[in-house]
Amino acid sequence: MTGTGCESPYDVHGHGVRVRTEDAALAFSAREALGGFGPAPDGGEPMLEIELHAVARRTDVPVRPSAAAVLVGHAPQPGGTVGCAMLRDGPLWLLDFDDAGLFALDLDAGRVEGWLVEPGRMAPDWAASFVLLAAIELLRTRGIYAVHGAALEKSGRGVLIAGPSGCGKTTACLALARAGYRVLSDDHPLLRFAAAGPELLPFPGRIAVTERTIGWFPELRQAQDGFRQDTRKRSFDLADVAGYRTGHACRPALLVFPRIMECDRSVLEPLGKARALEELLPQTLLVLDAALAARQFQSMAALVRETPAYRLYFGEDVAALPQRIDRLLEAA
Amino acid sequence: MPDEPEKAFIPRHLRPDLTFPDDGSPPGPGGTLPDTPRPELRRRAADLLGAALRDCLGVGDPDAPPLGPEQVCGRSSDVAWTAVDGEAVLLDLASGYYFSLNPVGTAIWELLDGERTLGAIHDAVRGRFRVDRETAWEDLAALVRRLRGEKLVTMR
Repeated sequence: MTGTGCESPYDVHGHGVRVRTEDAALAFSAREALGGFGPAPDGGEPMLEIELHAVARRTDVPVRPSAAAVLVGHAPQPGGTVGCAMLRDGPLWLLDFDDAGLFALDLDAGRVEGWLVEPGRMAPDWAASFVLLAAIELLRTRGIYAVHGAALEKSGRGVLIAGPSGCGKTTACLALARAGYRVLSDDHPLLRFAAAGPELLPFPGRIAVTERTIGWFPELRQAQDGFRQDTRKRSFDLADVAGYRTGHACRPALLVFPRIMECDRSVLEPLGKARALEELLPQTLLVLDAALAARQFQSMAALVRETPAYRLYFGEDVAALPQRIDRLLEAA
Repeated sequence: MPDEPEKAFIPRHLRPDLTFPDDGSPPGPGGTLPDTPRPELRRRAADLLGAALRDCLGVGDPDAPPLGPEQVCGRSSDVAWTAVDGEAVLLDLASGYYFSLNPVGTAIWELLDGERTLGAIHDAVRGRFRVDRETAWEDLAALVRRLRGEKLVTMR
């Protein structure tokens, strides 16, 4: 810690990620986003660097797109409903969050510098999601890919449940966790591809749930003291709930793409590999650097080639899901 | 070069207030079209439609040069792609958009090596699928037009 801020090197599966900030709210956000990882050791490969600044107004952001900047697209703004503009500006990628701030990414240098407008007034999960975004983009340069999804492990075999917000990922995750599956992440597990094959990696952190989900899993109220109200959900630490466990790195054995349905009985049906790839890519791939994107694209294609995929039409029979997933895992 | 068949520029079911016979006769009694030449109507309609909708409706870009069997078409270097279970999934690295091709489209995509002419690909498609000459060309040309419109291929 330095002053009110922090300089925290985190060890993200062998890659050091250092967050520097002098702002207390941003330091808190950094710990929220990455604090589940242990401290990074000194030495080894260069750190991935994230430097964050708090500003009072958007006009205080010192970086502005140059005349040569090219708008290459829009991406969802972390935790928000407004899109962020992506611009290529010389060696930098600029992520312009409009009134919320701006990030400048130098992917070749492994560095992100960001300015957020009054981060202390942001909901904790929203502010943390900006730190997370910076870390995810930097980890991509090291061949570690975050997936918008939940991941669990049982007997060393991984289940990746991917899909957009509101599709039932967290509910499916908790249903499996209650039945003994170990949780790697409920929102953004990581994937790494080595010569031996793909590996699902945990991303430790709080689990965010809606009141409706708590209704399905009343035992979560054990974490009552640890609940914190975020923008749309309440979040808690899995360690506060008896019977729920966290998991370790494992080989992905099953891909599940849920979709909540208004029906009593859930249906799991095999998903073609091309469809699975179409479902997976939007949950993991943001195209900035072309070479990095092409490499990730091929990695994800390799994953769907060798991993059975299913569409889960998720009905009201939440408690029946673990048995069904058990059977698919046995068959995989 | 095979002629591209004349078609109604917008399927009738999408324009129930208009009739546009394929035989070139004037619009029927239910129609409200002015006495405008068909090419001009086609151009005006295409102007009103986005590229994607034009493609869905089978209406080509009026300014795009026609395709011929002597032309050579190659996959853009800005596209990452893979074939899984016989279907190609394409990622446009310039735009970040994804595309999928069905098995026939995938077979054609794999032949777009920047060396073969469209005529040679037409022959290859006819050799591989049970399809008549005209339909094979029509489908090949439609796909290449779409790929060209999305800048997934380059032409020469």
